[in-house]
Amino acid sequence: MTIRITGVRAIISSIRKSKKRTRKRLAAGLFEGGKVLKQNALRKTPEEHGNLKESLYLVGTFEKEKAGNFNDLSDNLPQLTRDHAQHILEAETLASRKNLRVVLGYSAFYSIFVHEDLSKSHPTGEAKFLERARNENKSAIKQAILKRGSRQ
Amino acid sequence: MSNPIAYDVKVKLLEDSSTPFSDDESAAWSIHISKEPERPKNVISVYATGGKPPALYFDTSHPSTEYPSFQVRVRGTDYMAVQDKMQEVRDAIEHNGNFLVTDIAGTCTYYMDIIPTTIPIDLPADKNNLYITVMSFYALREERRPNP
Repeated sequence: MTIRITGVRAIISSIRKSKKRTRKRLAAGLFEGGKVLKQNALRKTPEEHGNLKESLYLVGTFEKEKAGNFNDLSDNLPQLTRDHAQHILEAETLASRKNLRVVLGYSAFYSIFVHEDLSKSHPTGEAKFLERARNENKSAIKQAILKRGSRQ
Repeated sequence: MSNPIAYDVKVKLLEDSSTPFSDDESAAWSIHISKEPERPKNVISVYATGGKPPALYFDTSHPSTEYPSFQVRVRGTDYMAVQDKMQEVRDAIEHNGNFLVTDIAGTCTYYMDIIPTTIPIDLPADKNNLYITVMSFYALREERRPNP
């Protein structure tokens, strides 16, 4: 007795396509979550010349928001531009097709000092801007990931 | 109501530790909450920095779980002395993060753990050319009300 199974190739091909689609949806969901965090972090980021805000980048596996249009108001412009390019490059490696990730960060070399210095008062924004944006918007970020990630 | 996190850290961890910290401003190192006075030059400050949203339970008898965060800031005249003091602070906090605080009304706040969220970070020297290093933590605590 022989059982003949047909269509195995079609099934395998369908599974592969489905896997690809799922990865793309998941990556899109992660990026959407990153966008929510980015918008909230921007609202809290202190602003003097706007360069700290401009250094905020968001890199996903298939999409990115690079920013990086720095104001030429200080001697730091060459360093800011160079650091920004370096950060984007590192983020792209981290969020490669193999590693489904979204990377968000500030490339300005002084961002850590502004973030951690609680003794400074800022006319706009506040210290711990990224940490607070994350803590206060956890459920909104999760919702954004689920909403776009589950869209067909 | 539980105490502010900065107060509990100052009183229970830094002052209770074997390290000779003091509230006295004439001492070698003094500890302050939510402020960094100009004098003395060698100071430790503890700032509350918010934290993660608390865990909510449908069962109201379950103690509420909170995740308050705080930052310790050490400022001083000598770079290595500042680094050493931060290490002492770090040891005092990390090794004794499990403790109980009871207020007058009998409410117990049980600190289960205190976890660092950064390593010590050097900030640029201030206008008086003093060295500053900061480190952030978050705590895991439960507030247990007394039985009626």
